[in-house]
Amino acid sequence: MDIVEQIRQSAANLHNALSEKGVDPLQPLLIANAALVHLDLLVNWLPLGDPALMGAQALFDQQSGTILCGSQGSSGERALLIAHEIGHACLHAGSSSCSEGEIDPSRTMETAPVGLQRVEDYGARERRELHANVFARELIFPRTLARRLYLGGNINASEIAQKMELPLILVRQQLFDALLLPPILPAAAEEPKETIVPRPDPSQDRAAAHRGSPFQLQAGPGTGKTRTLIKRVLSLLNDGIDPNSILVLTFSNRAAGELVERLSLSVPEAATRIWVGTFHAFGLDLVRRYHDRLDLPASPEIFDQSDAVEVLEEILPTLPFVHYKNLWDPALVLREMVSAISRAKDELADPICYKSLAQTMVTKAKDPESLMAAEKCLEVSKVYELYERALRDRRSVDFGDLIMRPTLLLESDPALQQAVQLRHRHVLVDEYQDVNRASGRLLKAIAGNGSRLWVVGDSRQSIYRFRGASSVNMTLFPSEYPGTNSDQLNINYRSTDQVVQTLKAVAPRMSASAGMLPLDLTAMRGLGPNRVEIRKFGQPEEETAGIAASIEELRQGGIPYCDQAVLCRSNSRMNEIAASLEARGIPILHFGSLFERHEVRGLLALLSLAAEPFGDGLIRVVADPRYGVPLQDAYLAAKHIRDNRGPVLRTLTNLAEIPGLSPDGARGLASLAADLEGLSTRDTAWSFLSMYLLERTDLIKKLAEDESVTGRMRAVAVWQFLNFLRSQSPTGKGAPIRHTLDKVRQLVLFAEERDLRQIPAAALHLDAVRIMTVHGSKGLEFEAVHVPGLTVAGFPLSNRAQRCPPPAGMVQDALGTTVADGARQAHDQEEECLFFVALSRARTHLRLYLAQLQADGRNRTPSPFLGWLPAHNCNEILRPPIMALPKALATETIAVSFQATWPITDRRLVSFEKCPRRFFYTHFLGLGNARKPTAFSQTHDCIHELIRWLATTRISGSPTVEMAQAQMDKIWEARGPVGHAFAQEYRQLATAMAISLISFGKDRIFTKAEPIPINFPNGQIIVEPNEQARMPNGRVVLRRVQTGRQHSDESGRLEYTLYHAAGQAKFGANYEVEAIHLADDKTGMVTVTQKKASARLEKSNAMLGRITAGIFPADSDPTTCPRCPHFFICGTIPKGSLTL
Amino acid sequence: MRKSHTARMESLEDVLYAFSIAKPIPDAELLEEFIRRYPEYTEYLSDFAMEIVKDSMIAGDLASPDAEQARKFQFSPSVTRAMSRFQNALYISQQKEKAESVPPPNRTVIIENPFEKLTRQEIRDLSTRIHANTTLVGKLRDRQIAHTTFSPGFQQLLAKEMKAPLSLVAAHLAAPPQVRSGSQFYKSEHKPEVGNTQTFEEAVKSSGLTEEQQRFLLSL
Repeated sequence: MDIVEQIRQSAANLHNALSEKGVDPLQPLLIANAALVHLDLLVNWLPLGDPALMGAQALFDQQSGTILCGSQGSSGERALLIAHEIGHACLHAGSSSCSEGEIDPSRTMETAPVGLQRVEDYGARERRELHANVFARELIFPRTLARRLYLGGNINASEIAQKMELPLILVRQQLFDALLLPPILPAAAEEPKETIVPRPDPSQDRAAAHRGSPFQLQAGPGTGKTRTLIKRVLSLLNDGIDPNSILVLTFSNRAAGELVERLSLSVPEAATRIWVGTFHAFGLDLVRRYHDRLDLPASPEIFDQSDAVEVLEEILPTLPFVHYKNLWDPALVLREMVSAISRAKDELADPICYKSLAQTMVTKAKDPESLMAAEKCLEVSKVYELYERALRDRRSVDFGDLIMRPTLLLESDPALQQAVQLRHRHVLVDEYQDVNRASGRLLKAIAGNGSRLWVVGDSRQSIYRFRGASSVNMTLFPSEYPGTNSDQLNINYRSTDQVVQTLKAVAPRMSASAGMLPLDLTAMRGLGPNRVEIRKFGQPEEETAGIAASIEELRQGGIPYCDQAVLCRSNSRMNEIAASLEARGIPILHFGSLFERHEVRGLLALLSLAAEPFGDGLIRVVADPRYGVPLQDAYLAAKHIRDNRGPVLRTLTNLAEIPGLSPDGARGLASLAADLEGLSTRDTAWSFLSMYLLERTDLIKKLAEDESVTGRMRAVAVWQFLNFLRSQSPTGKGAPIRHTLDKVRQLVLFAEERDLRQIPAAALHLDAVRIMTVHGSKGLEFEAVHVPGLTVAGFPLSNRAQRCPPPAGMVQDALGTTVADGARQAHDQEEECLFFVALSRARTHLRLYLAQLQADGRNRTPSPFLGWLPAHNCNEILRPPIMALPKALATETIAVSFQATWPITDRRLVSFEKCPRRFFYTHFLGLGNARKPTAFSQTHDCIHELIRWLATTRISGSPTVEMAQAQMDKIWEARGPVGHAFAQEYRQLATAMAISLISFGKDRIFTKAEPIPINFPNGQIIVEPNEQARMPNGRVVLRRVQTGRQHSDESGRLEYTLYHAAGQAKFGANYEVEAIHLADDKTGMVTVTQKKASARLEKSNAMLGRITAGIFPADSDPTTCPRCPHFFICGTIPKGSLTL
Repeated sequence: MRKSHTARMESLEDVLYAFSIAKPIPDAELLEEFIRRYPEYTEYLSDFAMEIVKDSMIAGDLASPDAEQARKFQFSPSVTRAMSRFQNALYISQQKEKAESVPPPNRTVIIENPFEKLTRQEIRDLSTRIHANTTLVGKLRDRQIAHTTFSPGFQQLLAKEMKAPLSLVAAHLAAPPQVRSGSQFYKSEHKPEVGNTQTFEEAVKSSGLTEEQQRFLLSL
């Protein structure tokens, strides 16, 4: 049971004791006052601003046992103030003084790990306030009471808030906690873990006691690194060191949180004075302390990756893209740029430095290839410069700045550096192997000569290469801090001897071991029951079936699900394994992509219904059994919304009246309208959904009553989603819900959503197998660890070339001779480290898995890492058991009837090829096209309109450049981003494309492009060429005009095969197919080989067959999906058939 | 947890003086050494060290090539300035001492706060004996009441009930407001507000005392 849960239980126990004494539990102020009497505390209400309050809203005076509160608020709010301070009195040492911002008992106990929350939080003081808030909420309105009232009392959230005079937001949050998070069973809570009998560990004691010179502790896995760090702090305090002078830096909030908890238990008073936090949090503290020196406001806004992309999008036309030009989807390129800039900041390379390195590359370039690489770097440097200017104009910082700016400031100002060194005299660093250039230099600025610097790390667990961390920093420590003493911990407390021997055999093979002490570990637990196992299977499905069997086998042997973990190298493999285990009935603790989960999508669809222009979410929302609207009726309703433009929420009331609806459909739509009546899109997404879930529907009740592990996980996922929504500040532009939906798309697109896959602590006790990536498992341990995918490209993963490689010389101490070579070596090293991390998570059972065949039956090469394992310590199992699927899943079909008047065109077929489900939504249901207009998309629309105009105008004459420009003027006036700050630049872009279009039409005589049917056994495809013309040699040319760039495999696209088939059908051999790409100003004839063409035509026929059969599966893709118009509704479709 | 490494009781002035002449600009080593020797003055030493460095930041001593010259004179200009401010404060308080026979403010900070050692029960009993409550006693302890506004009668009552010499109680009340030890402010954005004081009459009226208690206290 974690500390938050312990606090909640102690507050709830106090509440129960008081109500058993006869205090009315529904009267918060009575409860709070009774608690004061019970604890022999006094309370005094003072006018706000009274000196005794010292600027606080409430405080607890430890010496006199008095709580002082500013006199304001309802009786419920007053009760919460008292309860918050009682929380401090019961939980913490010393007095407390709390500001208005700190006393918020409605605050969620876990912050959503995205955005600013990633940096802030976890300071000792913040945690104290968090604990006091949790205590207050639980004392005044405990979860059991919340549950009882809501589920049994037939009373909703607003009524509870009114009756108890409590803030509605608090009641809602507590109801979500009480109903969605799994209850902690006392039995499970009390169950003791295997206790480690502490025995003398001289290696730990030596490290803790070291004084007088820089110290580097090499701590292998399971050796009690954190314990040693705590021992060190205690030993410093014992020497009389001022706790205010101790600074403990970590790389993760998790590590910081754990240290704070442990210190608070051992030295409660001192713990609040020790600065414990991540490098970024410390950087933020410095930025705030010296904001005037950095020309920033006291609390500057912090941009995450998606904010940074937004900044670049705004200044897009000023960005000098040549090599990185991608007009179709600038966000993708911008994301790469932002990563490149972030890497530059990791290396403390500012735009000037970046530029000069790039220019050096240009000067030194000897061949076209290296010249192009140099020019690309130069392009990034220009973007970097403009981005920095934009950040400064906004007086904001990004994550990279939190380290880079204070570092450069301290380095440039010896006095400031001295002041910081005076304040933080004892610096301890956890996970030192994760130090990158920037954090290393920041540390140097704080620790000076390092005589009181103490770092602990394991170079073999260096797995954050993507942010510039390098195990090299461990090796370089002694030269960075002359006089360093290095030592290592050598008792492993975690694993059996078999696992430890495996680690010892692997370590010397790793390149990260270079320069480190040889791994010298003794397993304190001695020999375990099993050797390490390598289970070999045929095809990949057998491997997942085999993992299921293996988990079940261990469970029958006494290892519960919750003590087992599957650690995957990649996210995609992880999702496959999760699906496979779930299909076999094995409970798993795994969210997958949060926003793509069934129950979360349902809520996103509801938000989309409320806030998106055409309310497309309707299709999915009405599919819920609560409404049960048939597909045909849903189709009619969606069409009605589109035809009657206007605020969707208001249109809803008329839906039930649409002619032709079935009785079920009308009933369902009326019920939906009633559920949403009075809700507003001006609300935040959180309060909109809170109202819907807690006051309008019984959905939360249903979630709360499902006690299966899968059901619990559904509820926890909804909790996690709501928690994320609460963290969204409503300050964005436009309707807050729309803003939230945009944010969701961005988070998925930039893979930042992955942070939300972390299971909340309150759900970790469920008896279910943990499934996570190796990266996510760092710092954890499990009784049994399963590592799948040990094939040559599975683990290690293959190295992928960087999209925006850094300029040569930027990455200092880089491996290899060239940038690419250095990146490859660093990749290889990280894969080795990941393997080491995965192995070392196991306590007793370690099982590795691989499929020896590919899906097509060809052989797969095993992972080279397997050869590193000591044969005498491993059992290879050639025909391991597998667990069959209970039943095969039936393919979902949707019966659609459509007439010949609804042709399947080449464009529609290509859409089906990309994603059948998207095709269904767009072309059959007519959904989509409600994207948010940006300056860029408006420009794009103008160009498209010009293309259409040109295609028609050219048939009757020869439009000149001037005519095209005049037409563009007209179009621009009507549809262009007129008035946008960069309208001029956008206009130039549009003009350039118009000129290209005209010049590409020279020497052609344009004719009307008639649709051309092609017949297949399964149906007919109508090809509609963009343009049709005759060349001077008399041949016909079918032209396909694209605004984007030409791809390297352009001719491989289905479109060209269809154009060719159409050309052949209509013009025999007398035709050509031409591709025009405006973004890169390219045009050319496209040929397709006979072999490729017949394969594509066969595929086209098969697709026609699937359309007729109603098979429209979604083709998930992490970059395409978040940009799909149907992202929020994809999945569930109403029952029944569809007639167009 | 903290051990006292020194049995001597050197005055704060002496310690700060020794600290200021040890190096032109104090560094972390020096501060550590002094804190080890005089743990009772930890906060004063840290503040003083920061003060010197802050001053040198304004003057640019640390970055200036004159640092070498400053070393010749033993004191850097910033130390001289910090010392001079210190001496001035001392002088003013000594003048006051002569005039009012009340120990000066910057001496009183060294004098133990007479409330600090009281237990919870003692502090509650004291508040009952002086016909007040713990809030008013807290204001007295934290010096949130302007010392010139106390009636002599109240000061005498307080001294009597605290069983402390009047001069000590008066000295305590006359010192500037302070943040109690045991508060846990350590990050830049969390600073307690001190310095906000009331008159005795305002304090009596705003501390949640009964009418009767107020009448009594204001009649002294």
